[in-house]
Amino acid sequence: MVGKYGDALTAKKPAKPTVRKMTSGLFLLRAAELGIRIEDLVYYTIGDIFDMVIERGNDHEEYPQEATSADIKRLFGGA
Amino acid sequence: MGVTSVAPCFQKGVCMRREIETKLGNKLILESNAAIPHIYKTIFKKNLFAEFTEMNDKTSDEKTEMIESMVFISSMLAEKPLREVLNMTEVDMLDFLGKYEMFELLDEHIAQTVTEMWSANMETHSQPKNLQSPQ
Repeated sequence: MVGKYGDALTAKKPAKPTVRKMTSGLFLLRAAELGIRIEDLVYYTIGDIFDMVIERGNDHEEYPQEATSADIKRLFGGA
Repeated sequence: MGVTSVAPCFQKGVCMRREIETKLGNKLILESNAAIPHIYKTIFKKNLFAEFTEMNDKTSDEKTEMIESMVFISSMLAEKPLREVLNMTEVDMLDFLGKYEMFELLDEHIAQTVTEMWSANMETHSQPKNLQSPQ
């Protein structure tokens, strides 16, 4: 995960994998950005932190909206 | 011999804990969590991510040293609070190694356990939505 994606997880889109290497300092920075204190790192795995960084990046993406019942009624010519 | 227990994350603040036995019958409890890279850097002044990435390029002596370092950190994490582990030095590691017979920790299944615990520690489940597929 780290070697493959480097710092691309938080980059502005369109993101591509980069050659930036993961370091302990960069990892601590990402944890600090998430509001995780050093003493709380024992409650997480490294993967948990990466997952949160990925999801934070995903928060800024746009997603298709789910159809509401009104949309479905409109589609089938309902009121 | 081998892995006898794995604790789930958040149980007693433990993300991953394994109890193994050396070939001389001594028990070792190893714990792995997100604090390990910071501890490794603090004690050994090295980047653990690079250490594992470049594992195949290392000499057997370097690999041995790295595995011993990981066993030391994981073992200390299992028995001491993080603050104490962060204050440890390479001298503490020598004291730790002194408790075991020579080559006792240089066992295939200990190295394998350390590697497995690192892989499990690094395991992710989320997928970045905007990341283009690597070519």
